[in-house]
Amino acid sequence: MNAILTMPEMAVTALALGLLVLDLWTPADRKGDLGIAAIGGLALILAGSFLFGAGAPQYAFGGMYVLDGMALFFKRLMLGVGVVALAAALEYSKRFAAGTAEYCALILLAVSGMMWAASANHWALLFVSVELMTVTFYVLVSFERTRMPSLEAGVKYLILGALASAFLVYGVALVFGGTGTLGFAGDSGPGLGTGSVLVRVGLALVLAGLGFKIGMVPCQFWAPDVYQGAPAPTAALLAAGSKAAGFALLLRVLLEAAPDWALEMRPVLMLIAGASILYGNLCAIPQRNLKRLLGYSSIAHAGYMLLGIVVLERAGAAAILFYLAGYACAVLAAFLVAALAFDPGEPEEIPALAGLHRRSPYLAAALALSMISLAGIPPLVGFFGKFLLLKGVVLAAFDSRSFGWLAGVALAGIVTSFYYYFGVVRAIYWSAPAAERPPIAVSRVAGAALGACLVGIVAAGVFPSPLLEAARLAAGALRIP
Amino acid sequence: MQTLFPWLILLLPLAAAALISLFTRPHRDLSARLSIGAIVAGFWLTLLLFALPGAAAQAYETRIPWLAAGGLQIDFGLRIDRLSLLMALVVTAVGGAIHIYSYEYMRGERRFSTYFACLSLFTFAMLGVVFAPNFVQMFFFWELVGVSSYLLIGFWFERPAAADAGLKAFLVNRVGDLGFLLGILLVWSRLGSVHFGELERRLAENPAALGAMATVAGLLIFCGALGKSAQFPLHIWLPDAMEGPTPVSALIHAATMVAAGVYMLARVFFLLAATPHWPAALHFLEGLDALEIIRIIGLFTALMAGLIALQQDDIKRVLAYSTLSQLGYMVMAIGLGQPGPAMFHLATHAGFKALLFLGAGAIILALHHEQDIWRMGGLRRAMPLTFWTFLIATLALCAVPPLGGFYSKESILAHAWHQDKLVFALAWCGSVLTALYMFRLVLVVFGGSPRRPRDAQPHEPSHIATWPMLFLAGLTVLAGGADVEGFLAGGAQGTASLASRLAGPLAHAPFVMLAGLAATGLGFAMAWGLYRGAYRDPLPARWSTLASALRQRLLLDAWYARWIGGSFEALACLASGVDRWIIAGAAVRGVHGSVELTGRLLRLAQTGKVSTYAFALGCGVAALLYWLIR
Amino acid sequence: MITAHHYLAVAAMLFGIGLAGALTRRNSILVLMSIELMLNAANLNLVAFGRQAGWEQGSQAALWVMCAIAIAAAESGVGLALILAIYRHRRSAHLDESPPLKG
Repeated sequence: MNAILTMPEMAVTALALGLLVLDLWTPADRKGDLGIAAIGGLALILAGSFLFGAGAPQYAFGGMYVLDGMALFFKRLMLGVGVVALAAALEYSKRFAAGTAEYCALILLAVSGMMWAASANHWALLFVSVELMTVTFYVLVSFERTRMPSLEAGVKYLILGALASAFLVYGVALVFGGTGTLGFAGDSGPGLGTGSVLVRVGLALVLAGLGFKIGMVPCQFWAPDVYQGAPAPTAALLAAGSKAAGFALLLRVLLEAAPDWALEMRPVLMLIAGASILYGNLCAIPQRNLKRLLGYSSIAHAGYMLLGIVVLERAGAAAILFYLAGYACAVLAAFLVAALAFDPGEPEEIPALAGLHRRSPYLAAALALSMISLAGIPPLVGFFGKFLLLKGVVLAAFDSRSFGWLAGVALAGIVTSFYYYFGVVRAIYWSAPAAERPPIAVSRVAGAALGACLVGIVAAGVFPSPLLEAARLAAGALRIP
Repeated sequence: MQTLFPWLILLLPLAAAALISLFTRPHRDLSARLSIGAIVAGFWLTLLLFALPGAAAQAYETRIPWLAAGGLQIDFGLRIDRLSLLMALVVTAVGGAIHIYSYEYMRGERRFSTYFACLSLFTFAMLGVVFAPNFVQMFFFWELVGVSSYLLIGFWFERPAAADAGLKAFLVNRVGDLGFLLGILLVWSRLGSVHFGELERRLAENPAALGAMATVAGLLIFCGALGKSAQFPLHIWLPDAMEGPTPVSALIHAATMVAAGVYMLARVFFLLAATPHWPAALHFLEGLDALEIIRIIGLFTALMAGLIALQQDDIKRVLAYSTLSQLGYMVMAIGLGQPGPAMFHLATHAGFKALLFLGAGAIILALHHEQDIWRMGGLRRAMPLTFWTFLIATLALCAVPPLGGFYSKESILAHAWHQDKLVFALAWCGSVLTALYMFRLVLVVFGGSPRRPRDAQPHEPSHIATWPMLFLAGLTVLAGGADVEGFLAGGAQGTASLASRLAGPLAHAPFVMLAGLAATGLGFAMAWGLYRGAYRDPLPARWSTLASALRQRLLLDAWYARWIGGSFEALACLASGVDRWIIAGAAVRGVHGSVELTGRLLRLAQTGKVSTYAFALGCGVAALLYWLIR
Repeated sequence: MITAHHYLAVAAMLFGIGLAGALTRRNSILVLMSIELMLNAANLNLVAFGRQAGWEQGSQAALWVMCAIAIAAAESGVGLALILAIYRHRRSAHLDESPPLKG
């Protein structure tokens, strides 16, 4: 029992519980301090995670839990996402009647769920961590219970999330029946016996369950509605964290546990990737709501990242990790601006962004940079991610023509996406506001969090090598046979 | 020094842009001085590099490691050879003149400092493209050029037309750039390197290394130039981009950004000239090589833009289409396998076209932002200096000896004559058009009597604006004596005497030279007959169909707006239609209809979303399972 | 003699009934209950397979079923609270009534 390995997750959980307890004794006007404390605590844990080296994989709980390079990469990513989401929550919760501390504690619990997921090496841990995230998100999404859109988004996430969980758990049961074991890649070497029908069907159901998390076709329908209705910090956490956790699990299942099955399913995965790219990008074009647009674009980005999976190689996995980090920076910045730039209760309409550069040049520049990075224009980080993902597909196109089609679809999707991303930039700088509105004051915490995202977008775009090297090392820990 | 100077040339404009945007924004004068100082210093440093013994003789590189992860190893470096030095000289000389001119032109602008920050950023990006030693770095700066030009074209973003033009330029360029990116990926995956020198070496060792994708790779890379150098069918952004301030038009659309495409083609010429080979799927194209296609596109653009320019009334749009046409000549020269003449024409064109734009800017300022040529007229007396410099540039553009444009254009025409008589004949027609539309412009704007309100008293701009014009006029006159082709070919300088070089075209290809002069004469005669003292354009009355087609830019823009914009929206409608109608409507209703019968029909009409989503999820999983078990 | 196959058949039927209910019902509470059925079908499968797989894996499966039941309880707890909150707003537990989030 190497329970000490689970220190980061335990610490985050303890932080969440401590926050809830402390909340009982904190007077109403000091609740903000609790949020600051949570941010500080999470940042400390993030710093502490660098004490762990990414050496040989270490196991805990009888092989259920693995700590390897990839798990560590994801944990750091999720801790970083958590810090920014907490900063956004602190700002956003000013519009709640009460419940700042609960909201922060729930974010911490969701982050801990994602961290457990990053280390899952056993179907049970996979299920429990996914459920820890999902159930927490039910509450996080519907947290503004006086606003109907938030509740409606909550119900949608609840019904569809529970349905996806049911598929997932039924699939796991079938896989268990076919293999007789619940671990998916023990010390003895990777690979499930994937010959039997039970296992193959079970894995397909698992794919559907995890596909819900990452928002891929055909499990993508919830994303735009939920992103639009949920409070902005929740949506940020969904986009940056939940999607990353989904990809962590997907990489483990598809590349480590069931590579044969993934190879068999490759045509379907390619179809899913292409469909996600097209669906997300096409539906995003007519959108007027910023958060809804980001919801559709998140589907497209899931499609881009699936390009890294269909090549079934380490390089593709590394590209996904790089892309996830860059995507997290950009999308967190966008949702932070969405949380700050609109009045409470105001729908996040894109035309309402007109004149933002007068109200707050900082927010305007941040949103513009984030959109440009999402569109994948160099020298921002989004470009390099897309470059690496596409490179893998183009390389594979020499062996199989269908990869050529996939590359074409991806490029078409990227071109389409310029249309709406630059629509946002245009709205910020180049359209006349309907009425003069007061300047926006950005608090120090939110400003710093936004600054961190922007530094990430620009620095990892101009000097990608450190992040690229980290992603490559992390992907190197994958036990691909 | 040989390594330090190029870095300084590249980084000084960046430093200026950073300083202006961070610190000196409130101090207008200081900001402008920083920006101008950076590029002028770059100009002198480039000249020094030319003068340094041996610096220009041999190509060398300076680099620092930039990207290293696993198998990926890309350096950030500068490649200094004859090609990049020549281009850097063009950018800093013409760009410097335009920077100084801007100081006068933009004087009353509220965001004066921001303007100069953008200019410096653009210069930095452009020099980055020039010095890039590998594809990835070039693509990086290539995009930065795109972003900074977006800022400059849309500088007056309060005007919807300017905002739209900026966006259009950006989007159209992205389309070309994606092809470029795909081409880079293709070359990289085939040859295992992105470094120009390394690629050239590997391709020389094994000419068939690109295999079946050789021609496709070349054409994809050409796509990048298609966007940046505004060749058909991606030319539509350039005329609209005239909505930017006039110095920006001079900088971007004459001297630098649009030339970047041609420069890039010259840089990777060895890839374009690779053994033609098509993949099996495109077998029916066998026998066509990349250069041939490039040649056709260049020639077509040259003729089409020349025709459209005949019927434009906005002074800047005439110049814009003229730029398109001249870029067509350069691309055609590349397609003829002659990067030397293409670069020569690029260099001379940068000078005289920038001069034309600056002259147009002076007129526009003097007439209080009037751009319609039919409301100008008789400016020869009011603005003599502008008139003479404009005339010199026009003569250079129409290839009148001994100005720079004559030698570069004759060189292109001579190569066309030797390789393909049909290409020559069409290019000759283009020369007639060039002379016709340029003399039309000169005669209408400067000749005749004034056609403007009486109280307007146009006058020359101040010295700050006229000096750059005189400088560029001097360059245009002197450029004829420069042996750019010989310099690029690496031959020892000064072997041929100045006199023999000046008489070169007569000695090498007397027929071509005489034909070229005849074309200019013909064009001039036609313009003289049609437009001397004209008060309005006589063409619409005589050939109304042709004229209106030309006025509407051959309907290309409208066609694009209708089909491309329309198809995007149609696709989006289709996607949301699938969501709303097919899934929510037909499928769900069908299932419900069978499960729960008639009584619920009314409620079914209100079928909402969650159930739709759940149903689609179920269908997706079912399809997945079916695929597995089938 | 009741074999593992019988359990699997029952579980598959439960799963099917649950899925059909989840896809066709309009009342959110009924939908939630149907999904619980699906979860329970999976649990039944796990226990049945666990009995086949021997003591070690079987006990793991049984433990997991305990976890899954607890998690399902948490899920329906949160879900019911959410449905209650919506009910307060629009006096109906029906899904899909004039959803503001669409398109």
